[in-house]
Amino acid sequence: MATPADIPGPRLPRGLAAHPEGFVRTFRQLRRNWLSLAGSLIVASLVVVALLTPYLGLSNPVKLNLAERFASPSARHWFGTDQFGRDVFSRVLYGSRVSLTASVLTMLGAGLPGVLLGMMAGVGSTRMGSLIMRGMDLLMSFPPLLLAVAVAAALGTGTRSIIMALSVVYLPRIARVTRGVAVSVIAQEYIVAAQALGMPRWRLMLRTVLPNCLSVIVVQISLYFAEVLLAEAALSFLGLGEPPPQPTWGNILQDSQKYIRDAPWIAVFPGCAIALSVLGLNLFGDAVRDVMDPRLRT
Amino acid sequence: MPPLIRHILHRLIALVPMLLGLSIASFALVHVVPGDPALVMLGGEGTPQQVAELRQQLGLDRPLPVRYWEWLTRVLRGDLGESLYNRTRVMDELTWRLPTTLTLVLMSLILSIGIGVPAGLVSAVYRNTWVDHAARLLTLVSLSLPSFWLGLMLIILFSLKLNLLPIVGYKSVVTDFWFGIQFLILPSCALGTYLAALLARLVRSSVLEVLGQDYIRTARAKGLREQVVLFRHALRNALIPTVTVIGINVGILLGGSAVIETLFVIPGVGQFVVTSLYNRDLPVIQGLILYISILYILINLAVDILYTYLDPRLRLT
Repeated sequence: MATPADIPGPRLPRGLAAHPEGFVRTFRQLRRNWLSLAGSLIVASLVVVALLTPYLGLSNPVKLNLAERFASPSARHWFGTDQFGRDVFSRVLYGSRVSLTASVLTMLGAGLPGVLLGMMAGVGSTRMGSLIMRGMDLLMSFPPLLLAVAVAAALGTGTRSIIMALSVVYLPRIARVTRGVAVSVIAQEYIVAAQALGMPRWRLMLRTVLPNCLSVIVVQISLYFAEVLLAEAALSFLGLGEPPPQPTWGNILQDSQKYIRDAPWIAVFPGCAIALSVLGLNLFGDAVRDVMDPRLRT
Repeated sequence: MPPLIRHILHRLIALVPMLLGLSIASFALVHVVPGDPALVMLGGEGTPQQVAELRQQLGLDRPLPVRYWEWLTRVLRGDLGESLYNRTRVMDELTWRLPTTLTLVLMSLILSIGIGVPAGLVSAVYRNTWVDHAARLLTLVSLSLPSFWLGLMLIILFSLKLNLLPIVGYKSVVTDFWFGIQFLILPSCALGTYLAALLARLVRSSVLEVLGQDYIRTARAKGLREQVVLFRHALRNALIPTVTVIGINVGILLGGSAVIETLFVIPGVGQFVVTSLYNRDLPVIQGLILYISILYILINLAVDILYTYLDPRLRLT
């Protein structure tokens, strides 16, 4: 009679448990998760801070307090004060609201029409497809930041025009990615089957193609998010954004230039805030990619 | 006709509708946006009479196609009009500012290739060692730094604290070569860091990919020295995708130069765009955007041709 030990069954290849490759892989996975975790935490705290800032009891970010001009960082003013005695910490926190809102709205403003156009180019007739894509190529043949500067110049200053300008810059990029995925999804057999069953084109686009493209699009958008935040800061640094005294990360930095010799802290902290947010968003984007589209893993 | 020449001709012909479209888009930027450009240029606070005057001066009272045609023929003759700010001819401004911006972009490019490519290569060769980890961490951080803030920090450190490099009294590379170069070191570091990190990341992954190919195994099996395998076989092939990325990112450098030139007060083309912006000088911006974009397209064309040259497989199609 055969004892259970004799019964051939699925066995681990010999030595896998002790194999260094296994450890290295686990370690790598762990580190990857650790970075993903850090990214998610940074993004989450950014959102929480932006939402809660008005309720934190910070000092007024626009009110002048000339008695405390150029105070260096201390327990009272963590990030010091600026040329008008305003608390830099409070200004940086309030600035996060502008940056984050602008980036989210830009992603919506570029994402919705971009996905729609990309879908139409991928699913629609060849002629319509190439017409749309030539238009997108055209928009992409401008250096990105310059296009944004030109659009913002035409629209006038303010966060609204930064959002519109950056939407124009990112729309063709998202449309291109969407079309690329849509075309590869359409080549699949289940689409041919749906078409053979007589599914109308718009329905095919919305119910079958779009859901199958979504993961790639979401990944791309999350990776663009960091770029948009950087670009928003750059445009508002150039003075295209919210006019002072309303704080944005970009315009605090613009202001700080005049005082870098004597009050470098005004310049240091908002930049750290931008860098940390962008780092978090980059890591978060990578994490989203790993979760939603493991094929793209590097 | 040799295939390469034919390819180049094809690309040049394809450029014509592109440039036409580009000119229409640049034109449209100012004239089709919601709101009255004259009102925008006056900062939204002109008297009705001022607005009407400016409208006439800009030709806003005439039909759109006529205005486009006039603008296009003027721009093609190299006439970008006068700057509202100091009444100089825009074309003259452009000519003396262009060498500065090109030097800045070129220096950033050299810097980012000089740092990014070796870093990526080393990172790939010593994969998963501490060298690799350090390089990748640095890459990750560099990709997150805003160039203008990095510039500010470099000014604080190298000019104000250490007193190593000049930040005031700019002299063009044309008049004083060495001083000009010294002056542009910090700006090009600030501008090039992002691209360096991007290249390091890209070179790392493409070298890793190439190192897994059969022909690398063959090369090693032949008993070639590791250096030869690495530089002659692996790096050369890994550089092909890198060239495209560099071409695309010259646009980022050109656009970024506007921010960096403004920060470092360098009288380049980018700074001119921004100054015109402050003065709401829309016609000037329009012309500059068109010219810079054409420059960008030509650079990309050159990269594309280089690419075909590097990768003979592409010539067949």
